[in-house]
Amino acid sequence: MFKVAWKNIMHRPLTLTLNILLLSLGVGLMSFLFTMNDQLKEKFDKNLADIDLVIGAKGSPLQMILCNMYHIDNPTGNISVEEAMPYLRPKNPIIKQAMPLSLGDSYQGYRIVGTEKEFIDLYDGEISEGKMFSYTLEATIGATVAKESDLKIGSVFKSSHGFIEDEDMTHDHGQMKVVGILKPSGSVMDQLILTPTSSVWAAHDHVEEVTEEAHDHEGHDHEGHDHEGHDHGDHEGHDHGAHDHSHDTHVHDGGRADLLSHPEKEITALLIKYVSRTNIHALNLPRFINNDTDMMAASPPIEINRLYSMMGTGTRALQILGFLIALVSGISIFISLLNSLKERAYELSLLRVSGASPTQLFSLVIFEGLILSFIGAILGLIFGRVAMYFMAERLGVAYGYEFGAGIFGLNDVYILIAALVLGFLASIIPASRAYGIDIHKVLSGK
Amino acid sequence: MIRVNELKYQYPKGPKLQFPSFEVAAGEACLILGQSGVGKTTLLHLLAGLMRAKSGTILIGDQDLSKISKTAIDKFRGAQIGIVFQKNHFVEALSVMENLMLTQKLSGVSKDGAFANAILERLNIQQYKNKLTNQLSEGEKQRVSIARALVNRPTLILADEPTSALDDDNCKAVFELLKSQAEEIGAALIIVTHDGRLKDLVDQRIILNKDEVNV
Repeated sequence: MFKVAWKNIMHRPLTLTLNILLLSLGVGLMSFLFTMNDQLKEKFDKNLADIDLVIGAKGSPLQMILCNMYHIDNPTGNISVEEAMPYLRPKNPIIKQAMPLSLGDSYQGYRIVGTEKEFIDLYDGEISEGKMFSYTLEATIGATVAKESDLKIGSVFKSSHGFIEDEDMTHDHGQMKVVGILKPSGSVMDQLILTPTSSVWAAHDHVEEVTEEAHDHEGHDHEGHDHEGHDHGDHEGHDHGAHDHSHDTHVHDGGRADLLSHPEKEITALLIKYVSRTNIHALNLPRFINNDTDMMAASPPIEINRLYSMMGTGTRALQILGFLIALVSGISIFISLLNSLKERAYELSLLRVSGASPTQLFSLVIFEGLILSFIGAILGLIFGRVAMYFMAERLGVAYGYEFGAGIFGLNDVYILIAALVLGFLASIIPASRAYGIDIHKVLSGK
Repeated sequence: MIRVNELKYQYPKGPKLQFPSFEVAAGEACLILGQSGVGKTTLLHLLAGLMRAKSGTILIGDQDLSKISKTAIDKFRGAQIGIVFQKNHFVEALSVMENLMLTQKLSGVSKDGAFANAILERLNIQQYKNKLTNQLSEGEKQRVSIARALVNRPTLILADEPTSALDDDNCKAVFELLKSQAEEIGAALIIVTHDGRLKDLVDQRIILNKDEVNV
């Protein structure tokens, strides 16, 4: 009966096309949304990197998390090293790790992050070529940066103010040099240019290219630099991040000791990992910072969950739309099968005359419904992947991550099963009619 | 062979019918003649096991139709009774040959493609075996109907108004075809019609009279 059902379906190409088109539209939309959501969630979860707390300037907590964890939004402002000092000291009893970040500059649209070498450990990063930065104005770049920009080992470049590529905002000083390239990590790090915090300061301290030899601060004398006549350019209208517009000419080595020795300097944020998440002091720390300091503390998981629920409203609406389209297609399959029964009543009666049982006629119609829904679902899943493939680039630009068409997963199996159930339900009534067909009445022409 | 004895049928909320007893041997042709509405189709459907008689017996070979269960009657009918209907209907999505093979499969008899081919040859329609039935003329479709009725080597062949729409020459030709094929496979042939042109061509005639049939 399955073979007969298959041939019956293929024999009516217009009905076949209309039904599967409708179902594939609904299934494709749902599949696309699930895939996009899964990939976004995977990227977002991966980039949480077990960070417990982010400390930065007061403003929107979500903005601070998005900027400092996901490098999507703008910084909320700066904090001074002096304010951050208690959390940077190695012997802090509740803090296992505090990673300073200095943001605000970029190169060809890729964000430059002033930080420490251990930053790559947060994302299980590894060096692919060259080495991790050691000195001021050295840079180690992420895999995507290396692939898509003109930077390679030994390249020199100047950073720009802000996060948008703009030649007018290029720093006149502080030429950086690429000393290392990271392996792809599937995290936000792939899109970043990492450098010591001191590099960000140096770009604004008007320090020229600093050689490795000059990085040895033992006995260095930095007095006597003449910075008169410098033109800082137009700095209005953009976010300065950790810019320091003083004319301090001291050359920095980028390490923690150097950072702590400059309390007057500014950074953008601290990424904090606790020694123990259940420690009472750790639990109270965010409230203390928010209420009793000029800084703000926010928990990445809490803010990201808020983001999910905000995004969820939009995607849920689209998922409902996809579900409704699929439901309409189920109704369409039902109507097609019911109508075809009227046309094929004589044919079905002849099948009974030839020896087919009522159960066989029932299964014939059920098979027809299942075939329609199966083809529609498979096509829909393919459409969803194709849509994801074409949207991957746009999503990548919007979120800064790499998206792909994705492989078929559990969600797709659920969608396929749901489509088959829909096809079965749509066929039940027509199949029951076929089961109970009055052969005598039909063959008598009544 | 088929033997009908004191067959009666009661329409739900309708008249009661009583049919004459008769017997048709293998290879014989019997004509059941009567005006429209006398109960010819009802009798044909009773003989085909499509309806259950109120009383009486229908023996096809040695099998009493009334003793066969509802679940087994379909397979029995498919294997033992070949029916040529007035309208030529097939499974449109299948070719001529596929329709014949489906008939064999549905009735539970062994697939015999060679026999199906042989029937198509005898009916001069072998060249259409891979064509869809809606690509054939009415005359060709009727031959396919006859082929479908024969493909399971049935004990009984029933034909419902096979010649009503045909001219005299074609009427005779179709009858000769039916009779010769029934003789070839040793089946009894019963033709139910109001077409009187066949009455002199058959071995046996049963005239259904409204006054006698309606009780």
